[in-house]
Amino acid sequence: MHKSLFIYGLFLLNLSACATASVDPLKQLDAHPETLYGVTLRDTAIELKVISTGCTNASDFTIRSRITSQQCEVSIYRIKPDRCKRAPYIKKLALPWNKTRECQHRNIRILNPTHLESISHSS
Amino acid sequence: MRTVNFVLVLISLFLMPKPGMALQPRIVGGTESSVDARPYSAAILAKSLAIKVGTETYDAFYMSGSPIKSFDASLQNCSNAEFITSTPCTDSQGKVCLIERGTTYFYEKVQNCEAGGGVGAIIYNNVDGVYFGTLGNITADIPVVSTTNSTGLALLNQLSSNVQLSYINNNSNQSFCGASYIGGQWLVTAAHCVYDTDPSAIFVNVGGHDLVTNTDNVIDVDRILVYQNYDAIQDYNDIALIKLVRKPTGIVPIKIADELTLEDAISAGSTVVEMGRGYQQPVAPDGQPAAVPSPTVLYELNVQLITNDKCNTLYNKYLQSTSQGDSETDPVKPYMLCAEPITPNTGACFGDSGGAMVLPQNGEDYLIGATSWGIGCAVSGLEDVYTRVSYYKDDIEQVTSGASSVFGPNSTTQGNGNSKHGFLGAIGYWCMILFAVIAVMRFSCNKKRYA
Repeated sequence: MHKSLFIYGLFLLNLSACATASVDPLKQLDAHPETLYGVTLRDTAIELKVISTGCTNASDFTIRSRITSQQCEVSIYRIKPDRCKRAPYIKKLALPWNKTRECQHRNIRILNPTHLESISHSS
Repeated sequence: MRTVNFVLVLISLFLMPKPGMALQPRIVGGTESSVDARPYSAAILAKSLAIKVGTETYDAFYMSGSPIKSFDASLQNCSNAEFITSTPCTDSQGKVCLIERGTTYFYEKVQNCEAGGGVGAIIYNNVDGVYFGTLGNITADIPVVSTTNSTGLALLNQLSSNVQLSYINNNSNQSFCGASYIGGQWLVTAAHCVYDTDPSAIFVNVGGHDLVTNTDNVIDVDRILVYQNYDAIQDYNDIALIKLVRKPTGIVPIKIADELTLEDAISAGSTVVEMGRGYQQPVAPDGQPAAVPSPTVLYELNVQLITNDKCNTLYNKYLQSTSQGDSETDPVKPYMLCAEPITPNTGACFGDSGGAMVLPQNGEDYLIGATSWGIGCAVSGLEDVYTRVSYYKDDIEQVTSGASSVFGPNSTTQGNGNSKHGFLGAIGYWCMILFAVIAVMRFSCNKKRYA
C-alpha cells in the first residue's frame, strides 16, 4: 500500500513538473523586447535581424500581439539570453508566426526598439 | 541554526550581481602577451562578399532567400526585369543579370533572370545607399545580391565583362573568435564560432601576435568540422575543428593535455592562462555589447581552475536569484571547464570565444580549454566557462590522423546534449526511468494479485 502511494506520488510530482514547464516564459524569465536591426513581416513568419554573440536562435524569442482599435501591436521578446562570447554580429532569424484572426485585418505595428536599417521585399 | 542559514542565504543573494546593476570600470582582457609567447594562438576573421570585375571590387550583400553560392560569368543588362512581370531576360543564357531596383518584386526580377537562363542576379539600388532585400517566400536557385546604385552604374559600363561573386579578404584585422593550432592543417575552436559558416567566408591568422603587422600565416579555410553532438540551441559540446588550405609555416603546435593531467590540475587549483582578442570592457549580465573595436594584439590572463561542482553552485545561485533557475540548473556539464580570476573582475569577453586556455607545465603549454560562455563579462561570482578540449582529445586525434570521426560538416544534433553522446544518451536515460517506474508498478500490482 505504501509503495503504491509512493508511485502515485511520483506520478503526481511528474505531472506538477509538466504543469510548471507550461507556464508563460515571460512570467518566468526576465524577458525584454529585443532591439531589432531589421524586420520583415511574412505570411507565416516574422524575419528579424538581431545582435548575436554566437548562440542566438529563433527558439530564444517569443512573439506577443495585442489588439487595439486600429492596430495589431506586436512585441518580440528574448526569453533566453545569448551567453556565448563570440564578437557581436547581426544575425537573421525567421520566427514562425500565425497571425491571429484579429491581426489579419489590421495594420501591424512592431513595438520593439529598432535601428534604422530595414528590409524590403516590395521592389 | 536554520535562522543563521536563512540569513546567510539572504546575504549571498544580496551580494549576487543583479541584471542591469552598474559595474565598476575593470580591465577585462588582462595584459598583452609577449610577442611569440603563444605561437599556437590563432584568430578567426570574416571576409567580405564582393563583386569583382577585372581589378575592381564592389560590396555586395546576399538577399534573404538567395542560395549562398558564387558566380563567375559575363554580365548582361536585364532592364526589362525591372518593370515587367513574367518576361524572361533576353540574351542572359549563362550570364549574370544586372537589374535596377524598380517596380516589380525582387522575386519577379529573379524569376525573369532564371527564365532567361541567367546564372546569377545583381539588383542595384535605384536611389543612393545600401539596401537589404528579401525574395519573400520564394527561394531562388541562383545567387542574388543587392548592391548600391553607384556600383550598378559602374557595372553598366562593363557589360559583357566577366563578373565574379566571391568572398574577399579586405584586410580586416578585427577577429570575431580565437582558435588553437594543434598541428598539420588543424585548429580547435568553439563550435558556435563557425557553425553554419561557409568556409570560404572566413580566414585565419595563425601565430600572428599583431593581426595588422604579422601576416605570415594568414590562411584560407578548407573545411569546418563541427562536433556531431554539438547542440546549437543549448550550446552543448561546443567544439569544432578547422582545416586550413595549407599548413602554417614556422609554427610549433600546442599539445592537448589528457584528462588525467587536467583532473590533477583542477584538484590542485592550478593557475592557467586564457587568451584572446575580445572586448576589454566589462558587460553587465544583461548588458548589450558595446560597439568598440577589439584589440588586434593578443591579450592573456591568469586564472585559477575550479571544480565544475563549485562553478555550478555559483551559477545555480545566480539563476535562482534571477528566476531563471526553474528552467536550468547545473549548467556546467562534464565536458566543460571553469576558472575563476586571480585578479578580481577580469575575465573573457565578446570575441574571446574559441581562444585557448592552456596549462603551463615544465616550460611547455598544454591546451585544456576553449573559451565558450559566461554571463556578462568580468562579473564577480559568475566564472567563465570553457569547452573542455581534453575531454575530446581522442576524437580530435582521430580526425587529425585521418581516421573516421565524430566531427562532421554541420552534422549536429539538436538534442539536449546532457552527455558527450547527447540526444541519444538523454533518450536512453528517460526510457530507463520510464521502464523502472513501469516495472515497480507491475511488481506492486502482482504482489496485490497474489497476496
